[in-house]
Parts: sequence; C-alpha cells; structure tokens
Amino acid sequence: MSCSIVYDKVSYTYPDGTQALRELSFTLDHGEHVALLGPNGAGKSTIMLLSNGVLLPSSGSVTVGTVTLAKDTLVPIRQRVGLLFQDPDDQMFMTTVRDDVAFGPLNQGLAAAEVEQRVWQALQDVGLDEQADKAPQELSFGQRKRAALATILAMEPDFLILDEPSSNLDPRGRRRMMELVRKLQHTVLIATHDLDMAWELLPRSIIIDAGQVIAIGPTQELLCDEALLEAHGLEPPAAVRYGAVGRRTDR
Amino acid sequence: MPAKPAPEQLDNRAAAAAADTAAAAPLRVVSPQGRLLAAVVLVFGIVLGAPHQLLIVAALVALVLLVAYIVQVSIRRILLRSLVVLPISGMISLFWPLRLVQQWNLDGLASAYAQGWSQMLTLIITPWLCVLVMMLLIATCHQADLLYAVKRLHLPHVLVLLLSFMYRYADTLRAQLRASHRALAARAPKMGTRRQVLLYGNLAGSMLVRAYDRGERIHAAMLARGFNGILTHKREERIGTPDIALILGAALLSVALYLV
Repeated sequence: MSCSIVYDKVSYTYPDGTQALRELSFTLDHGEHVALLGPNGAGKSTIMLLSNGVLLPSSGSVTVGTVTLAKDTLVPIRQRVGLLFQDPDDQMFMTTVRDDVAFGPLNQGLAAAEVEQRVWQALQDVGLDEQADKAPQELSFGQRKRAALATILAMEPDFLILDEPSSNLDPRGRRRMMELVRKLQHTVLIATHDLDMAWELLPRSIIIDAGQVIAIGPTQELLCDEALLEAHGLEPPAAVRYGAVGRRTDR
Repeated sequence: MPAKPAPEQLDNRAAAAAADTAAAAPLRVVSPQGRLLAAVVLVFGIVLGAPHQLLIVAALVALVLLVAYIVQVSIRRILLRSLVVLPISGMISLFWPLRLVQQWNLDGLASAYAQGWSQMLTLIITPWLCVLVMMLLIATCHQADLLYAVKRLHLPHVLVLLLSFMYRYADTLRAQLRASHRALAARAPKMGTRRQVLLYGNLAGSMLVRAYDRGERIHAAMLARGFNGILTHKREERIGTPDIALILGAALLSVALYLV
C-alpha cells in the first residue's frame, strides 16, 4: 500500500475570504518524519486540517496513498491520517481518558475486544495506562498532551499529523514527548515553532509563509540559513545560535 | 514496549477490579443505570406521596443516610449539597399561600398563611428529599458512568452529548473565567460597581465567543477521528439481578409513600 501524501497545487480560502494557501505543492514520502515550519498565520493549521479532510481544498488536490481527498473519500482518509491538535482540551472531549482513546477505534467499527486492546496499547505506549479511568481534566497538561497522542495512536493510522506537540510543556514533558515522537514508525508531519525539536528529530523540513512553500530540504541545512529564517519570522535553533554548527548568512 | 495482553486477560483484569470495587462498596454491584432508575422511581414516589409527617420524613432521611453510610460516602457532603434547593423551594413556599388570600389585608394574609402552612412545609420538604436522593446517586456514581447510564436509558442523543460536554468542559470554562477575572483585577484594582457590572457583562460575551470557537475546534477534532453524528460507547453493561432488586425496593417504598 502506498504511504505518501501528495499536495498538488492546493489552494484554500476560508469563508471570510482569507486565502490561507496558494497553489501549494509538496510530497511526504513513506516513513518520513518532516517538520512544517513557518510564522503564525503561514497556513500550517490549514494544511493539517486539509490532510485529514476536516477542510476540503478550494482548488488542487490532496492525495493520501492512492486516494484523492473528496467528500466521498473522507472515511478511508480519516482512517489513514491521524490528526493531533495543539490544545489537548480540543482533542479530548469524552468524560474519561479510556473513552476518549476508544472514540476513534469505535468510529472505525471495531469489535469491543479489539477496541479494548488498542486502548490499552496506546495508553501503554504513552505511559498513561494507570490514568485510563481519570477524566481528562484531572490530568496534568503534559499528561493530557500524551493522552491526546494516544487517542490517534489507537486508530493505528499510517500518517500522523501533529500540531505543536511540544508547545507549553515543561522541559521534562517536552523531552518525554520528543522521545515518543522519535519512536513513531509512521509517516509524520509536525507543525512546530520548536526549531530545536525539528533540528534534533525531523530530517526534512518544509518552510511555508503566506500560504506558499518557501523552501523544502534537509532540516539542518535550512535551519543554518539565518537570512532565510529571518525573512520568514523564524530564528536558528540553539545548536546554531550557540555555535555547535556554522551559520549561513549569505542567502 | 511490553507485549499486548490477550483480550481474555484484559477481561480478567477488569473482572478482578470490579470484584475489588464491589467488596469495598456494596452498592457498586448495582450498575449505574440500575441506581439511576431506582433513584428516579424513589423521586416519583416522593413527589406523588408528598410526605410531610415528621416520622415518615425522618424515616426516609434516615434510610438515605444509612445507604450513604453503608456505601462509604460522606453523609455531611450529601446533606450540605442537598440544601442547594432550599432557596428556590423556600421562595416558592413563601409565596404559595398568597393564592388562598380572599381579602388583601393583614387578617386575610394571616388567615391564608394559617391555612397554607402544611402545603408550605410540603413544598420545602418534597424537593429537598428528592435532591437528597439525587445527591446520594451522584455521590455513588462517577459522572462518566452516570452519563453512560442516562444514555442507556435512551435519553435523546443530543441531550447526552450536551451533558457530556458540560461535564467535560465545566472546569476549562471555570479556569478561563478565573484567568479573565484575575486579568481584570490586575489591571483595575479599584473599580466602581457599575463599571464592574459592565465589564463582567463583556466578559460573559467574550466567554460565549470563546466557547463557540472551542466548539468549532472540538467538532473538527471529532470529525478527524471519524465522528459521524453518533456517539458510540464500548461499555455494554446490562441490568442484572442486583439492579432489579434495588429498583423493586425503590418501587415498593414509593408505593408505600403514596399509600401512607
């Protein structure tokens, strides 16, 4: 089965007239871990919502594997693409962690025993199996972030689209989240402002601004390009700023 | 990562946990929907029987508190929480005798209140007993189980969703309100009452807009995980013998209340 996502000249305009994406094209290949970088309002969230079919492109196409995103292909696409929202309180809406993690598999029509198995495994993977019967609001923020990740892992998708997985976490929580991301075997696209995480974990990056692709390439190469980063509201990660590797300002 | 347990191992684990819980609190052998049904039946009995004789009221209260004691929930908490209804029922009760007034003077009022005092008492005691029973129910059930029980009893789907979200997001809303209140206080240590009222009016408006925004995001998150309008649930508890016994007990008590 093909495990790539292809964005082909995708444009998207919100109902209020804001054009979020303009003929944007890129491909995520099987098993890749890719960073989606850009300033606020660049269109990162729109790309993520389009990947899962929460939004449909105004023009152009999004193809997941061999299936092109359209109204009648939403079910197979949502089964293959897991979407993690930035705020875990948006992601987790059920009354207990267990029920929330079970929500996706139940919507996939799985049998109760299979759902239970997946819930257990997903919670075990993120280290929260002891907290299964708690209400989401009873967890710490870091735990909620991990539980939110479990909600999509339980669906066993081929692709993971993660929106700012390390935002607002304390150093230990951030490190733990990074370890989880490192272990993921899926094709992963992570929208983030955490350039240190991108530097450390994500070999390829896509920089977007004003709804257009600005640069695609190896993360460490792009993140050394200070002029490029500055032009698009970003700044080099600590490894570059504090001299672990050389800066490039010639662009 | 550790190996997955087999489904039957999971079932055994769940059964062992259930047995532990049952040993710790006898009422837990009854399913949440059994408890909910029994409580509703008893509330009907109280409403229809409208007990106001001191002995019967005392017996009912003693029964509720005895159950609370047996299932190890805080009696004080149940009693305190049940008082929440008194301002409302007290107000209704206070004005009720006015419908009996034949002459609008002091004598007429005194006569109306003299005639209506027993109804006044009933108007206070009946809702208080109902709330007391409901507080016992809430204290013995996790809210999530209660919501599930409501769903199993075929309350309209939309209502169950609304109740679930209210429970889930009450804390989040409270935290946002608290944060906004602090932000207001930090920038306006001295403020007149009129201005404060206006500002809190604005705050309520902004909370509404934020709640709407969050609703949109939650809906997107639900869609992303395959939501198709029906909230599926994996628990499949059925009403068993202990449930039926409890519901029958509540029904008998209700009939007794009605007949007495």
